[in-house]
Amino acid sequence: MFRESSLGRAHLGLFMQQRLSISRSNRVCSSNEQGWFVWAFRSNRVGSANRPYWFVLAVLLSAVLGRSQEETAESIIPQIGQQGTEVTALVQGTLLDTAEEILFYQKGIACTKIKQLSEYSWNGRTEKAELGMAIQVTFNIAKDAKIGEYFFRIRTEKHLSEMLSFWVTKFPVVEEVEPFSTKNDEPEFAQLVPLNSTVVGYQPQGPPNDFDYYKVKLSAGQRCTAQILSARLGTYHYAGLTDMALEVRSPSGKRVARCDDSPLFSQDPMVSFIAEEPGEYLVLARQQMDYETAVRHYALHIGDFERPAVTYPLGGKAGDELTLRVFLEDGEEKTEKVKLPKSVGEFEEALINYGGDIPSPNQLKVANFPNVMEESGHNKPENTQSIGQSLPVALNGIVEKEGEKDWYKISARKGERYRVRAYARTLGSKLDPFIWVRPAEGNKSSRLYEEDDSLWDGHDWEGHHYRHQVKDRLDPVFMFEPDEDGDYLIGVGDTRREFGKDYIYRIEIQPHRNTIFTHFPPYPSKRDITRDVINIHRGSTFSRPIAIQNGFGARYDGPMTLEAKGLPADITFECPVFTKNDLVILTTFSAPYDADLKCGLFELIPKPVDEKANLSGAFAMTTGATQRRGSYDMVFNKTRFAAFAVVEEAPFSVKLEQPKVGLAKDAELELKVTVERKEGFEGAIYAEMDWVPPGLTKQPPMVVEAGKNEGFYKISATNQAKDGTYQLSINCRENEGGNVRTGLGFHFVAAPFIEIKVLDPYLTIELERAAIEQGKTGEIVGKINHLRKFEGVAQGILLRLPTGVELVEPAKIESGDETVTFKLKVAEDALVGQAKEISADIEIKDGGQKIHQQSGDGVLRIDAKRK
Amino acid sequence: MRFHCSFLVTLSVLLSASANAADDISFKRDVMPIFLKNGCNAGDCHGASRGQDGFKLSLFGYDPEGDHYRLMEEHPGRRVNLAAPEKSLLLTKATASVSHTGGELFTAKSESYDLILKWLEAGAPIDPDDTSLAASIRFEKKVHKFEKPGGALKTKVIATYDDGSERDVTRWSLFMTNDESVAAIDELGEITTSKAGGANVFARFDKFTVGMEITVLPEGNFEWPNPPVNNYIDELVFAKLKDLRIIPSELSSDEQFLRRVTIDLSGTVPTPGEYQTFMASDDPDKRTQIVDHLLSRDSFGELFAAKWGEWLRNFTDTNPEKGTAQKAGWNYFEWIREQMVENTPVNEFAYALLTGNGSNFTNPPSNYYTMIPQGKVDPIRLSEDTAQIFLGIRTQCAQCHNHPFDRWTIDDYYSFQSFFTGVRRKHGSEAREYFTFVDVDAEPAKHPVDDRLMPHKFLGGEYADVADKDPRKVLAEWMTQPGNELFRENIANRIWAHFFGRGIIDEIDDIRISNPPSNAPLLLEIGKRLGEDYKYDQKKLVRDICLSRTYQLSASLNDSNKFDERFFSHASLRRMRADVMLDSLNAALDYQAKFRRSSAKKAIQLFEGGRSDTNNSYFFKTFGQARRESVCACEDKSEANLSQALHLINGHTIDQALQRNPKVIPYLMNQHETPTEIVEALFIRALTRKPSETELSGILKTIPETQDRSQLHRAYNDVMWGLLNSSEFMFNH
Repeated sequence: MFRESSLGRAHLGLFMQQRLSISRSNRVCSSNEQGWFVWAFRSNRVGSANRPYWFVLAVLLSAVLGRSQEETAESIIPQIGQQGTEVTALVQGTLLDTAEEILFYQKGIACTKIKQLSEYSWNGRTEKAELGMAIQVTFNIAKDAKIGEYFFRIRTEKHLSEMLSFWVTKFPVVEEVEPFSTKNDEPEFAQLVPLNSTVVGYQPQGPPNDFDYYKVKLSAGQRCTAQILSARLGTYHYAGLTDMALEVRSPSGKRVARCDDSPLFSQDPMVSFIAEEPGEYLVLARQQMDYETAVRHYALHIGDFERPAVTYPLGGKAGDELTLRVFLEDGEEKTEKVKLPKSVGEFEEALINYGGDIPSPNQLKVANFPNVMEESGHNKPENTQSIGQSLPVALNGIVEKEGEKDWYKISARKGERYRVRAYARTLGSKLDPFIWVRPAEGNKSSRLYEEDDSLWDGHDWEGHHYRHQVKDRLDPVFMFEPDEDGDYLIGVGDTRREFGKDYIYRIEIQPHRNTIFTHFPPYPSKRDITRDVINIHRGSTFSRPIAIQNGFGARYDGPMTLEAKGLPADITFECPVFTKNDLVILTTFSAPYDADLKCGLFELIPKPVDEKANLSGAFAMTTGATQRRGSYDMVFNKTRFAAFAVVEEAPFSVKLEQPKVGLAKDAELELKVTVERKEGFEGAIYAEMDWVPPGLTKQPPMVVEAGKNEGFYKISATNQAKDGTYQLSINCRENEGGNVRTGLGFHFVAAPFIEIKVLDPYLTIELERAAIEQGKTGEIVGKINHLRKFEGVAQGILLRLPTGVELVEPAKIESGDETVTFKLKVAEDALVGQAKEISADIEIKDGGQKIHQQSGDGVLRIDAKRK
Repeated sequence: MRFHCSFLVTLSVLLSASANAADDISFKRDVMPIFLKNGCNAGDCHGASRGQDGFKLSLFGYDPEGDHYRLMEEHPGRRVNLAAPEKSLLLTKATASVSHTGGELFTAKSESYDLILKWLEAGAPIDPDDTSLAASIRFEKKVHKFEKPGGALKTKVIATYDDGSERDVTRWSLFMTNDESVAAIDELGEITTSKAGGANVFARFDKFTVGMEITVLPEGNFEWPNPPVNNYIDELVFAKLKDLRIIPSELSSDEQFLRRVTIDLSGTVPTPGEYQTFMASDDPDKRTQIVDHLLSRDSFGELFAAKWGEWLRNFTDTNPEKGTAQKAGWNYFEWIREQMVENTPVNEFAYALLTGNGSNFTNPPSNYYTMIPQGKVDPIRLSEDTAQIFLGIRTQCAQCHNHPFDRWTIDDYYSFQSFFTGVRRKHGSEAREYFTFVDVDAEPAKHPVDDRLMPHKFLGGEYADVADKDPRKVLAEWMTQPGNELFRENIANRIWAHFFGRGIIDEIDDIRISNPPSNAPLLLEIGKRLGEDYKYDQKKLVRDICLSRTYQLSASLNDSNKFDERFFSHASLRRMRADVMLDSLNAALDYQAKFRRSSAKKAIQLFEGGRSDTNNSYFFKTFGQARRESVCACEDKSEANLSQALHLINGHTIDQALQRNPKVIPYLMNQHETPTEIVEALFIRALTRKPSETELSGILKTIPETQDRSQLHRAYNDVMWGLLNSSEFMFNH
């Protein structure tokens, strides 16, 4: 029943390789400036396949999903491989026919081959694969590659793809037998898998729910742990929710373990137990509910390893040796000594080789300040535990009894701002922490804090919808701002009054530092993943708005600019000086014609203009990975790096003509767009500004007609616009030939920056009320208030005149005139009554440009004809 | 000594029978009862929420102080004229000497008039704090048996006051009956009887309601046939029947019993194999064996899980703010199913629900606090629905006034609500997940009249000590103890109703004084057995019921029991529940139904019933499956109607299984050689019996004598279609 890999190694990659005719390829290796290795590959685009089984999976996926094919890289199957092996996998998407290179975000995996696939087989049928819809990639996974997730993108000749991820496991990979040969959806057909392996499983579109039964041989007293990796694989590209459950039964049919969600991995379950009897244990992997109608896949790690669920404490001081209490998933508790690294941050290596090879790490927090450990008996504000040292500090404890609150006494200074961050759910603890802060006896402070949960911005991650809820948000994050020097009491408990030995907390209290983060803002009506790259055509400019986000509690409001750290020298990055109030700024990236085709990672770091300012910043991008219905993301891909690619030349380039005059408030300015076409390209060009500053408005997209090289694009300023000089660009693409929703298939080319100066209006006009009889002529007089001098004679007309009223002729205005008179002719049948909101539109010529200035709010009464 | 006491009581009653002196007139003791008796404070008069014609009284007199204020001080001098009491509107309106929408309520020569006048003459005082108030009332006789129809009886209602005194309050009491055709009662408390049977009459005074059991025996000779008794259930049921002179029906046939018990315990009709095995057995104990066999199957638990899913309102919504995501509902369903399949004691099941804390994913019982409100946490909803689900009590009336037909007061209502005022909810680890928890420092509920904080008090019980505790745990411990009669009798009654189509108290979740059990000793005993003897193992009670002769009686009636619908003298015809009906149809046709977005193989396995199954939504709706819009057991409709008949005749349900996916007929045509065998097999599948000679001969005439299989197929299809459209199929009997 169990089809071990054909080489007898239970190794999917080798198994696949054996079934494919892999052609030779040219391979190059490069590294970018951050030291991030990028294995680049030029495919010889030979497309043939020997009906591999994983093709069946791919086709099954695409067939049942009715895919939109709107993404370059839509899926990769399998999505996991073993350390130290070579793995082949299928990538499906569109426009992959020119795939040239894989850009990994982390070190440890190299792509050694890319092969075009032109056909597939399914259920005995062989069908053609459309050009560019499927490629085979070969990954060489280093022996010391970290276990876990690796983000990557695919560079084609034209663009850089969306982000996908590939995972690395310690264990040999075994393929689920279903649906190719024997079904394993009944206990009697359970697939025997060796201990310490990773099963790659698939669940076809339900319902009915696909029950995948596996069995493992255990001896009495042997430990068995099974854990699922599914939601974390990311189903965004499949547009379906995966939420699995595990259940284990003994040889005698007794249920020995089951799990739906786990504190450590949220939707992905894990179980661990000690076998009471020898024999074959059934492991059932299934979706918790059979409500979803999408294909899902998973990796099931199963073995005799010990599974640490959580540790106490949850972190420590950099460089210290910690004695950890390790709480295993099967209920056992052990002790382990761990040497913490000297660098501050997240530490995942502590238990990775603990008690065997665990397939995914636990995380410890490493700080540059010491731990304080809970002492028993301090459960009331009247009986607190003095921490015996100054801040910063990390409080560590366990809520072991119902209703227990642990109280500590700390000393804090007036005027300081302390960031208090609880770690519990974030790191797999079952505690739902609640924190109280109050002044100690004798302290006259009025500060009282009662904090339960945290907002997303407390975690300094952006690029998502605000409603998204993740387990980290159950841990409070808040700013403690003492208004008196002295002692304060800090209490910790569980919001739900739950308790237990694994209800562990760590509360870090440290002085706050201003932070500013950048990320790609959501693109209007477009999915984030399709536009979160910098895709520069050789010889062109690429523009992209960048969002500026205050870090939690940040108060820095000085001027800043962005540093594009890690960009190659031949790429020019331009960015205006901005402040945190700008929220979004426009940046451009330009590459010369002779730039190499390449891709890489870089950071967009906010830097204060004042180098002495207390500010740190980073790029922090969060992209939804697994969604449930209603577009609620449940799993996020997080990265501190943006990706760029230099790709083939675009068939055109574009420029905005620098206007010689500024943009007056309440005025409109026409910008000239010039297109330079490459030979052979005559098509229409679609142009739109992606961003204008607040107070400015832009016209809807305009089209430069086929064969023409000029167009005009209007922008205007309201009287709310702020004075200043702004850098603007316009983004252009072909008018047809690509996917309008995702942008795929188009060349996006931006104009180099021009500068627009927002100025006061030339003049304002106050229109006097007027009355004219039907059939008569009359006039509206406006009082002119000159604000800036202009040359020559301006012409004025009136806007929003009622039906039946005509302006006899445009009025003339010269600089210095105090009034202007608009002559009107009222028709016999004009409607009697008042017409409001009449305004004047003054066309001024300045610097060779026409400027339309609007002003006034007049009222005209039409009287009935006298008899 | 006994004589001495009763003499004193009688003397006390006589002495206090009426108030003679003006200074004896009490507003609460004497005047308020007049308002109640004359309907002044009824809901359609001044007791309406906005009052009537500018004057409002508290509904049924729940707020005497408020009523006194409105009489005396809301419009000083208008309603009461202390200078000329007889000119007070209070009297002139009641006697209709001035215009009164309610007309004349009493005359100037009535006792009501005298009492009010004397009270007014005394200055219309509010009672001093030490005024003794009614503490309980009782009928002078709790039961009465009339030897034949046509008899009459004058009843007496006596109130006991909190100072120990007693008083005849018959003339101030309101009366009603639950079966006027048997026993009617007039406004003075005189009972008149019309026909043989059992009934209850009730009296209401102040905030109390009491009942009296009436038996009217039939005329003529009666000889109790002394039927065999299988267990204590039969003893108690037959005792009641004997008392009522009702002769139970005969024992059902093996075929009838097999069909009945299989539907009741498995939620589907027996398979042909089960039929053959059972009928072939000559083991005298085979009925016991089949009951034990059916109880051991998962389908028993699944059937009861479906019922609990309705009572607990398990239904989902994609709006994450409601906390009722599909995953939550799915986990809740699985947990309920598991409790039922594994036969978790019902008190433990209820305890887990009431104390449900934390994640609605990892601790499914906590869904109790999201599914019931279906939105914002609401202590009103939680307390009302908890009382209804686990105690069978509808307290809703007491939210605004003392319950008019039961013992629950506003104080009871808000003191019970206090157990839930601390329930809180928040988002969990993801948008679909919710945590339920309790703020133990939360204030108890406030009294709507005077904003008093109402201390936690069990319904019909004592005040609870909840200091620094989760009040829900305190409540759950009280509620689920073996000795809690309210809880155990409610659960026992629900179980009983499943097997008889009606509860000993019916409706099952409307237990109140004015809706008494039809056989009180029986309810008392099965409740006691369930709670104390069986430790809430419901299968033991179910086994008792199914093995009783009472359950196994035939649905055929005799002259004696043909009008009985309350005392279980015969099996009742019960239309199958919607989900059971669908499963039975499919089982009879060997058809695997398809349910939308579900792996369920049977309708009773659908995680939120038929709510989300659009494939069969019309069927579920037509056959009255509960919509789960409330916790009321009444949502599950079992009436038969024309739409159901038309759907079976013309709808897609039978058509799909019989015509479009033919399986049974071709199978039987291959298995059997003669039309007789095939027709018999169809009868067994549909009706769990063989056809009678008449039926067989008539049906065989419709089967053409041909070798054309398609023609034969159509003929047998017609036979099966007819059987499935028969009332005999639709009903469990």
